[in-house]
Amino acid sequence: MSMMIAPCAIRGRLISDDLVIFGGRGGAAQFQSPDPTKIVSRLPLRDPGDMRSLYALKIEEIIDYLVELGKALDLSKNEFMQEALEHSYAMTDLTPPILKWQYSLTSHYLSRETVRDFIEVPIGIRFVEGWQKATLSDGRVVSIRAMGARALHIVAGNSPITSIISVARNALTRSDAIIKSPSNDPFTALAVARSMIKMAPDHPVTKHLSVAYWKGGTEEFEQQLYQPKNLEKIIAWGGMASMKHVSRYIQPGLELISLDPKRSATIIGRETFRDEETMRDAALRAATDVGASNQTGCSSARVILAECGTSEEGLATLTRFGQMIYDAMMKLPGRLSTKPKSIDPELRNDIQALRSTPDFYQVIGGREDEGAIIVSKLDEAVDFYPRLSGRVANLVPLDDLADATRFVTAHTQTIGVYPESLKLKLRDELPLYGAQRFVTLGYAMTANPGLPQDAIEPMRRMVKWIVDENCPVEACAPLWKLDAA
Amino acid sequence: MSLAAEALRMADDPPKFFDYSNRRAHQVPREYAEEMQLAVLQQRFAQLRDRVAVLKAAADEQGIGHLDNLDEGANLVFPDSVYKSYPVSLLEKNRFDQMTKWLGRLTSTDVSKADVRGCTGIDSWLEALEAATDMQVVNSSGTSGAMTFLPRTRKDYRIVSDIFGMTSRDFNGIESLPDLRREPWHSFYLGFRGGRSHAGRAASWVVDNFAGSKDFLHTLYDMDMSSDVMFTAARLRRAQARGELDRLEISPTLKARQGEFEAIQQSTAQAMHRIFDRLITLKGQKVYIAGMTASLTELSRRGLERGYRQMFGPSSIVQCGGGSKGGNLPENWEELVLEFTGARRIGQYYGMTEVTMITAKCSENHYHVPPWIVPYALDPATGRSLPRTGTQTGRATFFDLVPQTYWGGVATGDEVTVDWRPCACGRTTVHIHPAIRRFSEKTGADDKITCAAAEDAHAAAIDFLAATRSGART
Repeated sequence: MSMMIAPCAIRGRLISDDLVIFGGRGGAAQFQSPDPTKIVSRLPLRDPGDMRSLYALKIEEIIDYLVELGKALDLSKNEFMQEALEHSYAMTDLTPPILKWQYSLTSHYLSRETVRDFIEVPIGIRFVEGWQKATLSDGRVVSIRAMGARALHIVAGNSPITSIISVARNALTRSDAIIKSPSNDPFTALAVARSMIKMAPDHPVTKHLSVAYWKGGTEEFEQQLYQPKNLEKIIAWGGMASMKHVSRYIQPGLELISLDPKRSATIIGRETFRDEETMRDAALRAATDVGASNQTGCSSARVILAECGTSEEGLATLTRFGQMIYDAMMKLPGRLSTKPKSIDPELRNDIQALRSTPDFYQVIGGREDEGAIIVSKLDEAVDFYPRLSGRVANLVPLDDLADATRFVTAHTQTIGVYPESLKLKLRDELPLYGAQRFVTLGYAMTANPGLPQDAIEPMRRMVKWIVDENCPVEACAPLWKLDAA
Repeated sequence: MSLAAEALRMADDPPKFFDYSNRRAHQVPREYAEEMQLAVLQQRFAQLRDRVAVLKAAADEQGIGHLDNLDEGANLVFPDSVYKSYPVSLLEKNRFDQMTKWLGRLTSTDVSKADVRGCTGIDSWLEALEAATDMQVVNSSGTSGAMTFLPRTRKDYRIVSDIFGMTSRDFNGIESLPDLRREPWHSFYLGFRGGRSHAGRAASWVVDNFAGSKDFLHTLYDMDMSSDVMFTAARLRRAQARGELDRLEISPTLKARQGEFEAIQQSTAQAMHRIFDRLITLKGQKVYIAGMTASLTELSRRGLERGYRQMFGPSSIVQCGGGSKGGNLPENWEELVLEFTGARRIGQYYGMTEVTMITAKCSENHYHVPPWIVPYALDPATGRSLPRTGTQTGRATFFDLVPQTYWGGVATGDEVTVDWRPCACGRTTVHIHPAIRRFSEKTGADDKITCAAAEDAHAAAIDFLAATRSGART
């Protein structure tokens, strides 16, 4: 088999010259892509004035474009998407049924209603479409408009959907995007760009998207590109190392919109444990939050706090609940969750070590690397909880939910909650410690890109808020006429 | 004497069996060594199978009643994380009754005799265990906040000390004759004078093997490494890495010692002067120097600036390791040290807390595994042993035949290439290639303080603890 090729797309043009070999992540397959040093001077939008063409479009027209793109990306018809899917199997951390299902979701994410929400919910279309007038108490009449910017998107590779979202966000804010593909997904954003070129080669939205691959940390290349003269914003999703790395290029004139590495948790209230049926319902939902996309998301549940108490009876209930979660996880549909592609050998060792400590832990499953539920017998998460992955969750008993704050830090993103009413108790308290998103148990791994993410509103940060202040002398006291007093 | 009896005599006290000569240990014909190893492995299994709870559970689960060959030994190794599988909060909350119970599952030693009720920290807990049993529990520097506790015995440590001496001398071309051990060396250990980690215990091995008595030993820190301070160091690192520094609380035991830590901080600077002044009076004498690279480099630079070169000649021994403490180590530090001391080379060793092995590079740059250790390379993906032939790269795994109270089989976090082919250096033993790395480094998640860097971490924690008195934290 010949080596896979990931050309780069620069504003409507496909480039596949000067190919060099890149290694996949963690020893995964290799692919070829244009030599980054040969394209670096062509990547930035030299003249910001070129974004003018985007303003000739109405937002409705951009929405039309994205909806049409969504249809064009249909996996059953689109050869670029089919090829990207085939190629991605070798690169991704996901298993084929899961990846294939995620590819099939593109039309959902680009449906008219969803796309409208992308922009209407966080910003409001009228602010992007034109100048919004307001009169302030000091007498000035202001017009405010949200305008696009030149941005670099360092997208995450744990789901192909992040590429789709980035393309839509870029178009709807009338921005110019360079998408840096991740090494574990070098093909999806590219397939979208190719589809755009095929669909509407001269369309301004097509002309303001570039997709390329370079190895994160290639300093000379990045030093050249990551400059305020080329970019105004960097939107970075990613791991701790890449985040720290990117932040060194930040300087006045170049802003970082950071979608940090995050971890998510689950809180299950004591009412759950009163009857079998409720327990089963909660277990299926928790299993979904752990198992969906094989726990590769930052929203995936890892530590599950259960208010069942640490008494002997409480622990017996917890173990039964752990078994229910495990059983439910094993029965999740294959498009959602499967036996993971691989397991971190260190984690396997750590799990094996816990089996030797029955006084403090019970491990349910995990013998075949299929995933496991670790039941803590003290109100404490396992020491290696940041490494929980491959459908391995840690069930921790609490006597009182007030203790939940111990488990919430600056790195906490989503908290799946059960029962629903419990959220009202938690949502004013836990954000003080770091929690950012409360969601109905079982829905942690569903996302609506119209909503705030990581406690910020990326769309509001992606645009530039421009203001035109009109100060009529008769309404606004002029400085030059003010009395000295 | 039957082979089995001879084998047991070897494993019972390897240095004595080999007359304290590393060369002899590495000249046992391979086939004979493996026969001896199997005999000991079988005996250890019979002896410990039902007396070490963790081993019994593992053997029961796999239905193993007897080990027929060395390969089967690889099926019964524990991941090194077994020795830190307790909940960390037990240490934070001084639940040493529970810790003792946990440790009790890992050893055939009866730990129930130890009275740990009044223990206020790790140091006092380990002291109580030592008082009531024959154990000399060693703690690691603490990977990701959890410390390894290995239930060694007093005798195990005497053996480790002897092995340390054998390896140090052999590496420097000194044959280990018994009288050599009696002649005192002027010894400088640029670290702590004692403690329960390997870095802390090393000072006593220097006394055993070189200094002969504490009169001839000079240390940089006039205190023992405290396991409580090391635990704090590890928690500091972990909290920093996890963004939880604001949650870190310092135990009252350590807070009570803040004045002492401040004094240590101040006296260390003077200790460097004291050691330097002593060193320059010893020109031409037999000197042993070991310890933190940064301190050794500093001493050498100071000496060279004042015109002291080639001080102690080629029969002196210089060993070092450890971090650069802030990355200030000059690139040519090795040259500086060799030029100042006159030593021929600087020792580079491979070993780990969990295994009775301290091995130096041979002329071919290989680390040879002594006959009392059975090495395996495990396939990292499956956890199964790779064939014990040719060269194999995998998880470094060892069966240590020395321990008689805990199970010697341990899978480490190191990725190594084990070489079963003959080595051109002439030793008969299996060897390990010099490129060794942590698996966690590969996945980019490493926060291991290496043994050698433990001293740096401990020193950094002392700085932190000394500073907390004046800081806002109470």
